Amino acid sequence: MSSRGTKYWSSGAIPLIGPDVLGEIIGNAADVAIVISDVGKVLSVMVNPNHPGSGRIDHWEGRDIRDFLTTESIDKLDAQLGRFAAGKGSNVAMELNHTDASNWDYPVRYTLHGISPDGALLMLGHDMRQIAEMQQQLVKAQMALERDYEVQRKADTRFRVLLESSRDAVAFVSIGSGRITELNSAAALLLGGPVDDLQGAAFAQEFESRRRGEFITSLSASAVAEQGAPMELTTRRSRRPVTVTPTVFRAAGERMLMCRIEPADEADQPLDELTDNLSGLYQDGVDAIVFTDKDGIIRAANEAFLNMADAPHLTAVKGKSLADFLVRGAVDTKVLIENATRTGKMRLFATKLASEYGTRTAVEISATHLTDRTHPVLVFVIRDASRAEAMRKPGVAVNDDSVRSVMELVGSSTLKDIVNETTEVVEKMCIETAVELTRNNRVAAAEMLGLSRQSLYVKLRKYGLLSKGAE
Amino acid sequence: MTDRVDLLGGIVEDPGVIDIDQPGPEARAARSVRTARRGAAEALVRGELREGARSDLSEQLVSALLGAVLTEVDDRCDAVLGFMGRAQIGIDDIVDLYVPEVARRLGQDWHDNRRSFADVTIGAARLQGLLRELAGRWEDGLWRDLDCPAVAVVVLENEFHTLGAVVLSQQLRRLGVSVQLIVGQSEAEIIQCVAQDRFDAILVSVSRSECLASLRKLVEKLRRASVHPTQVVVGGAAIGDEGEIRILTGADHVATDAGEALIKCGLKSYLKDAVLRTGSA
Repeated sequence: MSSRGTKYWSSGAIPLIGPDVLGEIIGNAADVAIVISDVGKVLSVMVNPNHPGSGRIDHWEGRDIRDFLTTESIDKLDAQLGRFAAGKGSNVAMELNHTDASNWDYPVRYTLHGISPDGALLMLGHDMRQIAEMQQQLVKAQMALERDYEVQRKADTRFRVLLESSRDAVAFVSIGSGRITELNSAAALLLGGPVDDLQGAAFAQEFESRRRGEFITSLSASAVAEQGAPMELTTRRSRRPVTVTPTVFRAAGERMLMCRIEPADEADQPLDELTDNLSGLYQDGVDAIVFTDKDGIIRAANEAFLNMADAPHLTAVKGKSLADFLVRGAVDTKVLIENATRTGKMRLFATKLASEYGTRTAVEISATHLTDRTHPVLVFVIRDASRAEAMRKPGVAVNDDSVRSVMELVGSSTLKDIVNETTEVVEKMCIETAVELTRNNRVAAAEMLGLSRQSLYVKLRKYGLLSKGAE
Repeated sequence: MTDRVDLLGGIVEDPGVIDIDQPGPEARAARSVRTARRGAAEALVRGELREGARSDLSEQLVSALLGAVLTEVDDRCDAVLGFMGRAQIGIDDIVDLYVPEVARRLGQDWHDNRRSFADVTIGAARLQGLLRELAGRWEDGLWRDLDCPAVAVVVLENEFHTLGAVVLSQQLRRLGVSVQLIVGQSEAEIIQCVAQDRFDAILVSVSRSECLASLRKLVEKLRRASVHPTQVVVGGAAIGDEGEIRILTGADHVATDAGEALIKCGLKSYLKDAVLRTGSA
């Protein structure tokens, strides 16, 4: 049986119910039942004793129910009370959020029923805390997602910066689809297209005469078998010969290739700034630079060296010994190479360079031994010292070897002996130099040294220089 | 074809228009964001488009999107987005206008007892998922711009309304601001975040007016934690009278949208030329 679309009990099935029984029924049917006046004053509350987690709300009685509602719920209640006052009340369920300063904050789903002519209303409430709990879990999951997304955003940015600032041309390719998932601008430049176009493009189609399936298979096979052996290919857009070095990896189940793309011809390789500058210095520098093997055989020499040596072309010097271009030949080279290999470098070695046509140029040579490679190399930087030489006052040149031999004496001789011996070494060198400078004019040499002619003869004899001087 | 019509809840008269095989929303987002960024940024700060545009919203599309976020059919949202794309509705408009409008209606429906809060929660969660999809994977080139303003958008730990903050973050990013969105973190974690990085402004989103009073302590702590002088802006659904809220929370400013927040913080001078033409604000 129904009236106004609402179904009622069949007549007689429910007898008139006494107030005590009715109260019990209501108390058990709802989780919470509240009787309020037409203005919202709580007249009576009843909490279902069988409902788990029901709290005590006796203190609501006599107070305004709005004191226990959140702001937005007060609006809802007022709207509903207004409808009842206007006689348009309906028992459409209404969700209200309760708040009680002390401990609770929970939603209840109420239906309102007019129960008396003075406007009092019965609110039958169903506790929605379980659903609210689920709602909160959902929101928390959502927040966790949002947090993860922020973390991912940071990681993504780092990945992007790394990719873009890398000089290596890199493309990530999905083995499954054969398409480029990411690539950097260096890779796009080599492939000859804009990044946006290439992203998502089939990798195989960026190379000449390559079929997608077979290409990706051979790339991944090569990555697995030969630990990333390069494949030689020609790009389709820019028609450039390149090598592609694949590395295979798995990301979240998906097999991926990271492909490093390099230009096949070395000359085209983009140089970094230092390499670029060094090569410029070698080509155009004022000092001669010569690279030799460990025996002093020239492997490369720059333009400045060719000029100094009056050599027409690199071929004229390549393969020859550096000794061929030094006045004291093998002796100079031996000293330079031995010192450089022993200590790694030798500085300011003064000698003369002899050109093809016999001209002699005073030079200072520094030698560096580059050992950290499979084929050690000696680098000689040769500086024209002819002007400095002309201005240089004759002085005492103590070379490294004699100093070192003096140091070796420490421990085996007394200081006095060492000083004596050193004095003799210095004396001998000075006399030799003076004799050389004066072209064996002993009068001039004695004068230069501030010695009498007799004293010079004594010392020449002492050091066995007489015979040499007489030559 | 019939099932496709059904996906849109019957809003499309010509079933031939729909082609769900079109490229996904991400690709569209990327395209649209690039072209629309400048104009939209300008309009967003002026507030013109946003105010005027609510009346321009297509009622059909709003209802379709509302229906889509409430249904359990998974790809209904994608279908509606696809349709919006073909109707020349830009991603920015979806983010700035359609998503907030649908969220507003969800709230209204709860208020009018038409929907349970469970439905509203699920709808809001779907809207948020949608935003994530529309955002694309990253902001083009923003990382290169070291001079762009940096802001933190904070949602308090026990605050469950995050949609507004997500929309705000996306709008700010579109305006060329570097944004860190801090949601679901404890007060200590929020303060740690703020202490670690240099933020020009901290935007706190509050949806429940009950939370405003308790905000005062946090605002104070945020200011103290920040190594550099920073400004705290309060915004969100709970915002009413500006003067009152500033006194209540101790915040420097109160703002209702991204553009207003930036202008009040004096950050507009950092923004792109288009935005600078907005004049006196």
